[in-house]
Amino acid sequence: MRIIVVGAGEVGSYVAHRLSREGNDVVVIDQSRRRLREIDEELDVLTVLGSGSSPVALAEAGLDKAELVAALTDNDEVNLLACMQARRAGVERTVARLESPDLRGRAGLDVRRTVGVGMVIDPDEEIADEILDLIAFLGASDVKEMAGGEILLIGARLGAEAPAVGRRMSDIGRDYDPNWEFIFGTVTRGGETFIVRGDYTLGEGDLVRVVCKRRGQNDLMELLGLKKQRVSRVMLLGGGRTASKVARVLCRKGVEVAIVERDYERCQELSEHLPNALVLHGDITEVDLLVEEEVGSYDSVVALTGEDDANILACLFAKAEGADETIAVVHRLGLLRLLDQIGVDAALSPRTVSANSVLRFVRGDVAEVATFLEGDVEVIELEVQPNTVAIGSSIADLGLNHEILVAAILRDGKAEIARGRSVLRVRDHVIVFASPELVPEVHRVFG
Amino acid sequence: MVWLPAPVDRRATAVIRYSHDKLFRGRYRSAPALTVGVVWFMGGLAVLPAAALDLVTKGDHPLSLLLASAILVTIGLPLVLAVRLPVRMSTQGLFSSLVFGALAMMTAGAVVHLATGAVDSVVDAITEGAAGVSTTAASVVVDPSELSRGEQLFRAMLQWGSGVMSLMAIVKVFPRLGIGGLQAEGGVATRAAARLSPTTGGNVRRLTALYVLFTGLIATGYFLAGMPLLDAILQSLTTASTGGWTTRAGSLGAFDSAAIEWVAVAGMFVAGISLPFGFRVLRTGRVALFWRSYEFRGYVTLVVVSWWILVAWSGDWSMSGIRAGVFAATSATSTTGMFTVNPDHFNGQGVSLLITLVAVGGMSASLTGGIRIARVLVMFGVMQREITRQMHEHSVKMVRVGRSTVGDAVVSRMLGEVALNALVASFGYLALAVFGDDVLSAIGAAVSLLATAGPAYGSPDPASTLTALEPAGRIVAVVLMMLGRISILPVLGVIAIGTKPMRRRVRLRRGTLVRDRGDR
Repeated sequence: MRIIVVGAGEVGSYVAHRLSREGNDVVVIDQSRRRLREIDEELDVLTVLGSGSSPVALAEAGLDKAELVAALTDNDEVNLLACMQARRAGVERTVARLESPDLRGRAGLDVRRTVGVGMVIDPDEEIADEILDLIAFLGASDVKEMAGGEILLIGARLGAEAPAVGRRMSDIGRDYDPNWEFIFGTVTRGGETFIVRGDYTLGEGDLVRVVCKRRGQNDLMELLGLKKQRVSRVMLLGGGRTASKVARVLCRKGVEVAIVERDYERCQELSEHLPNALVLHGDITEVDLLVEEEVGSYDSVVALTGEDDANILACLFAKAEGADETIAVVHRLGLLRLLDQIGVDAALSPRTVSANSVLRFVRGDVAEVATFLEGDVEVIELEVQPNTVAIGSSIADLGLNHEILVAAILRDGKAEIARGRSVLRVRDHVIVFASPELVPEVHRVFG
Repeated sequence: MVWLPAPVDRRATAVIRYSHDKLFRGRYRSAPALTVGVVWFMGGLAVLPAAALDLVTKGDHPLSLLLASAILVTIGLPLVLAVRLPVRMSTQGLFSSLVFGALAMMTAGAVVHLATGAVDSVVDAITEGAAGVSTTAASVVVDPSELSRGEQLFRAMLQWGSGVMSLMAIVKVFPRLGIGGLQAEGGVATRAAARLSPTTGGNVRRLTALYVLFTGLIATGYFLAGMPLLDAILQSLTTASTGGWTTRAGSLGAFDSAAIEWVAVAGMFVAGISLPFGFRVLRTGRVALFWRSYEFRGYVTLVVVSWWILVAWSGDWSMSGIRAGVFAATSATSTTGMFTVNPDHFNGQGVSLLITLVAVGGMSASLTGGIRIARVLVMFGVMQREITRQMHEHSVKMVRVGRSTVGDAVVSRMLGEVALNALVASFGYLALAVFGDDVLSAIGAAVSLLATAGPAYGSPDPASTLTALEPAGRIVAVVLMMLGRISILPVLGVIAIGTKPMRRRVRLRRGTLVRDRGDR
C-alpha cells in the first residue's frame, strides 16, 4: 500500500516508521531538510521536501497512486488542505491531525465532510486519555482498554515486593485454573521484549504486559504488587493543552489538582478555565516551589512539559519526596532506558499514542492497536472474518508462530481469556500479541 | 446681494463664509461643549410638553415654563450649531462629556425650578436639579402635590431623561472604566464582554427602546392598578429610572393601594436588572439565561432574603406586613427610594439592613446606584484569591463571578471604585452631621444620597433628607448625589484634567526651587 505521511515531526516520523516496517510504501513530505535527512538515514521510506499543502509536493510524492494520506503536521490548515487535495485525487482514506476543538467537534463537521477527512487525530487529546488511564491504576506503566472496555491491557514493572516475582508462569496459571481472569503477554527484560511462555520465571525489574478481564483486575494488581487506592490528589507539572484536558476530567471527578506552569499568562488562562484547580506559577525544576507545595504528598505526579530533561528531573524529585506515582511524558525514546533505572513509574510519548490510532485506521478491519515505547511487540484487537482458517479451529491447532500469542476472545460481548483449546467462531474478536513483521500473518489467519 | 457693489459683495460674502465656517463647520471641536449644548437644547424642548400640560390643566406656571424653555434653547442652540464632535473621541473627552452633561442637566433643572418659583433659592434650585438628575427620591419640595402638573411632569422627565443619560454612559463610558459597562451576558465586567450590537449607536437604540417599552408597561400597570392616568405616567417615569420621586407627599404609600404597590415592586425589581442582559433575554426568548447569570441570582437572593428578614424583624406576617417588607427591600436594593411605611417599622436592625441594601444596589449596567452586586461578588472573589495566595504563595487565581472571570486590571479598578465610594460616603457622613443631621440620619443620608436612593434611613422622617439640612449641607448632598450618579472615577478624571496646568506650574516652581538650592 502506498501511504503519504505529511509532516516528519515526532508523530509523523513514528507513524512512517511503523507503517514501513509492515511493508508499506511510505512517502514522507516535510519542509525541514534536516528532519528529512534524519528520516532518510533511519527509515526505509521516500522523502519529499515541500509543504503538505503544496500540490507540487503531493504530486511528487505520488498522490495519484496513494491509498492513504496521513496529514500529521502541527498545522490544522495544512493538514486540511493536504486531505482535500488527496480526496480530489481519488485517495479513499485520509487522516488529519486537528488540534482546534472547533474543527474536531460538531461545529467542524461540515468542514471535515467538505474537505473529506476520514479520520481525525489529536495527540494531546489521546495522550491525556492515556494519562487518565494511568492515574486510575497507580504504579502501572501502560493501561489500555480493549474490546469495548471488557478487556484491560496493563503493563507494570515488577518491584521486589510483587508476589509474582520468582514465580513460573505455569505455576501462576495453575493457581487460577480453570477460570483465568488474566494472561501474561510479554515480558521486557534487559531491553529485550518477548512473548512469555509457561516455563518463564518472573524476576524483579521485569516489565510485564498482561491482558485481563475487567473483573479480574484486582487479583492482577495484587499479583503485580500495584496499589489499590483511589487517587485523590494529582499534581501536573506543565500546563499545556494536555494538562488542561487531564485537569478538567480529574476536577470533574472531584480529584484535587495542582498545575505548575512557567508562563504567567498561561497560568491565568488555566485559572480561567479550571476554577477548581490550583494553578501555580513557576518552573517545574524549582525545588523550592515543589517542596513548598509538598509534591511528595500527591498520589500521582505527572510531568508533561515539552522538555524531557525537566520532566524527568521533576519526576525524580517527586519520587524522592515520596509521591506514590510519577508519570513522565518523553519525546526522545533514547531516554527510556534511563527512566527504567531511576524509577519513574511510567513514561508516555505522543508519538506512540497517535501512531496507535493511525495504525488502526490503516489496517481498516482492526478494532484496536496498542504499541508501546519499549519493545516493538504490539497488541491488536481484530474480528475473525468468515472463510479464514481460524473458523472452527482451536487456537492450538492453528499452528501460529511462537511470536504470536492469542490472549483473549470477545464473544457476544463477553470476554474470555484464550486457552489452547478455545475454538474460534465467525465475528469473535481476538486480542493478539505480535511483532509488526508478523502482523500480516495474523491477518492471514484471522482475516 | 445684487444691490451691493461687487467688492463689498465679495467682502460681505467672505465675512459670512468665514463666520459660517467658524461657527458651523467644526472649527470648534469639543465633545463636552457639544454635550452641554445638546442637553440644554433638548432640556428646553422637554419643558414644552410640561408647559403645554400646565396650560391644559390650568396650572400656575405655563408662561414660566415657556420662559425657562426659551432660556435653555437660547443657550443650547448656538452651542449645538457651533461645535462639532472631535474626529476621535478620547477617554478624557468622554469623561468630560459625562460630567459636564450631568452638570448641564442639573443646571437646566435648576433654571426651570427657579423660573416656576417651585423653590426659593439658587441652592435649593440646584439641589432639586441634582436630585432629579441623580434619580434620587429626595426633594427640597416638602409637598410635591402642591406643584403644578407641568412642574410635576418636568420633574419626572428629568429623572427619566437622566436614565437615558445613564444608558449612554453604560454603552460608551463605563466600558472604558472597566467598572461594569455593556455586558450582555449577565452584567459582569468580564474580559470578553458581549455587546448587543457592533456599533455604539445600535446599542444605545436597542437599550433606549427597551427603556421606553419598560416605562410604558409600568405606566399601564399603574393605570390598571387604579392610579389616575397622569399620575400613572409620571410615576412610571420615576420608577423605570429608579428615581423614586412621587407626585404626593408620603411617597407611594400616599396612594394607599396594595395593587399599585405590587406594580411598583415589579417595576423596581426589573429596573435593578442589567439592561443589556434584559435585552438579550428578551431578544433570544431564553428565560433560562436569567438563572445562568450569577449576578442575577445574587440579586434575586439578596432581595428575597432581605424582605424575609425585614418581615421577620418587624414581626408582622400579615399580608400588608409582607408587602411592606417586599416593597422596602426592593426599593432599597434598586435604590429607587420610594417607601410605603417608615423604615422604623422594621426596627433598628431593619434600618441597618436597608442602609446595606442601598449601599450594594442592583446589578451592574442597570440604572440603580450603589456599588452594584457584581462588585460585591468580585470583592468576595478577591478575598477567596487572597486566602489561596496566603496558603500557596505561587498560586495564580483569577477572580470569578460565576462562570465569568474578571481580569486583574478590572478588579483593581472595581476595588478602587469601591474604596473611593467608601471614602466619599465617610466624608459625606461627617459633613452632613456637621450641617444639621443627627449621627444615624447622617449615616443613612450619606449612603442613601451617594447610592442615589434618597431617603435618610434611620431618620425619624426619611422624606426630610434634604429639607432637614442647612444650605451648606444641601450643597454636600448635591455633591454626593452627583458623584453617585456620574461615578467617582470620571469626576476625578475631569478634576485631574482641569488641574493639570496648575499642577504643572506648581511642579515647575518646585523644580526651580530645587535647582536654585542646588546652585547654591
